[in-house]
Amino acid sequence: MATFSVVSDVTFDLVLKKIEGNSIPLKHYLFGNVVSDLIAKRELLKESESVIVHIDNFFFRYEPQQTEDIMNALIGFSKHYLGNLLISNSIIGPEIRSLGQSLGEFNDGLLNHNATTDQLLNAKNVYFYDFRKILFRHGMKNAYNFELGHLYQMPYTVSVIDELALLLIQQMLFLAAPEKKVIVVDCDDTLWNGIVGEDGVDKIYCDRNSRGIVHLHFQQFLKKKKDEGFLLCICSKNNEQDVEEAFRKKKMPLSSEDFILKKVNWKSKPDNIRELASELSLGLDSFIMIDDSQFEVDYIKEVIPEITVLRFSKRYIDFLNLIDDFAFRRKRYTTEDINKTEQYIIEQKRQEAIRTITSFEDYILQLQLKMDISLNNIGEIERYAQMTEKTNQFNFNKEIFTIKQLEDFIVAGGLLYGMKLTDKFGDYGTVGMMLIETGNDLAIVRNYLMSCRALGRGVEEKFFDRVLGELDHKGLKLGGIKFQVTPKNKPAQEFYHKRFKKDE
Amino acid sequence: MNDILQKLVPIFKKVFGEHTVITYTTRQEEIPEWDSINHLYMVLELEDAFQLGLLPEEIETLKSVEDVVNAIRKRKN
Repeated sequence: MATFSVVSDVTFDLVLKKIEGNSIPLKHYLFGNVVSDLIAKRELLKESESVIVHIDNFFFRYEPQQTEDIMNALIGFSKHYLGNLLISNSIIGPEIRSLGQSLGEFNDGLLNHNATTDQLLNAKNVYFYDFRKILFRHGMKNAYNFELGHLYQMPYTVSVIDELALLLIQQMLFLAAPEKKVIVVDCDDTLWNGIVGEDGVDKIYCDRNSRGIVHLHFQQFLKKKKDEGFLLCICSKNNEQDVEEAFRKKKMPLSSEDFILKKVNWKSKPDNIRELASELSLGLDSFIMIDDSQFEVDYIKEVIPEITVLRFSKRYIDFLNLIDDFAFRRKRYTTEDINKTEQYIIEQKRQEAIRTITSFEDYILQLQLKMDISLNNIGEIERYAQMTEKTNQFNFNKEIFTIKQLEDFIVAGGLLYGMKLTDKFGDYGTVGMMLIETGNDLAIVRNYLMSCRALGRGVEEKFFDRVLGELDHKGLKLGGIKFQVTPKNKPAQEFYHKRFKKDE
Repeated sequence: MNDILQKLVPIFKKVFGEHTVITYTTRQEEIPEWDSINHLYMVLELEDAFQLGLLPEEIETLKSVEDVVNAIRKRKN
């Protein structure tokens, strides 16, 4: 099974739980700053076959400039990556509508189509998953849970999480599976309403009236699929002349000639399908079979497990779900494209010198980050206590402090350094804290924490250095660091090993 | 109270694992799987099962089964 990685600005854990439950292995999960992760962690992400980038413009209300930065990072990434890049379609919209122009500060973060977005839309290895449809179907009111979102950066309701996970599972299975090439359809009660052999040609329907409309739309859909390159075949238990008469006498979107092969007889459907496969010299796994009979659907599935069998139903909502099936999608990226892509990458590397954001350092520089460091700031103590509980990724040992314990820590002579962060887009609030125990001219780092909101900007290095500088100023020497590996503190482990180059 | 507790049992099993056993007095520290992500998971399942929306300050004070029962009861009244 193909592996995947996720880059996300919302807490994706609950979605990942469900995806991994379907035995699709996750390689890396980067949560926080999408832009810097796409630039700085590029090599890491290349290890997996698909990368999902989930950006929530509705929840985070990005400034247009931020959305453009994300767009540029995505384009840059897609050009260096040969796997499948899966992006939510909630980033590009037909227009930038203003939810808040009247409020004067926010828009909904969608980008207009322009030359930049077109680059992404046309990239061969970029796939969009339809997150907007999920939002649309649930309605904003039932999709978002802003209370939880503001607490955990995870703003979705259970049903949205479930549907998003399902959608991503389907998309990844689709990308891992061979592409479908042949659509085989039944005739009676599928291509038309009625049984031609019994009811006669005059009593079958495929038109705009209520009895025929779902069949009319189905035929139109099949015609479109034929134009996209699918081969159409018929497999029907019928008399051949009845079916031919239906095509001859009825005005329908599809004609007899639209079908490359027909198996109209009384043999079993699996036998007919196997014959089709051998006559077309195509594998059965590239076949889709559509039939209205639940018996036939189950039977074909049982006898030929590798074929995709879909059931046709006259209920219109079922029809809409049927044509939405991933089996009918065309992959954008084929093996022949890979060589071309490699040449493309070389050309891109040349051009990259003139791009606005050329490196991680440039990106950091243009963010205009500003740290505000305070010592034993009682006014923020509630936030500090909350951080010890909620921060997982960049947390040196996951020791939890209550407000009272933090107050006692300070009274006992401990130093609590806090850090607030701002950049050109706004205020992050208190995002960093370091607890220092002192004694005998020595300073022990009891814990060091950084909110994931602030990670990936080099801030964790700078704050650490500034505090070390302060300690030095007070005549204290670094005497030790309390570090403990936890299942979730990989970013902290990386930092710790990089700085102190020792193993646990 | 009892009917709420009864409804909580399958939710806790779903969120924290099938082996999870709860009573009215079970506390967060007695369930090793009750970390911050699963806390979030639990809140989502609670809100879904009981059709309610909890506020951040309520969510943060849920430290035991008793707290959960009380929060739901308060909402239902």
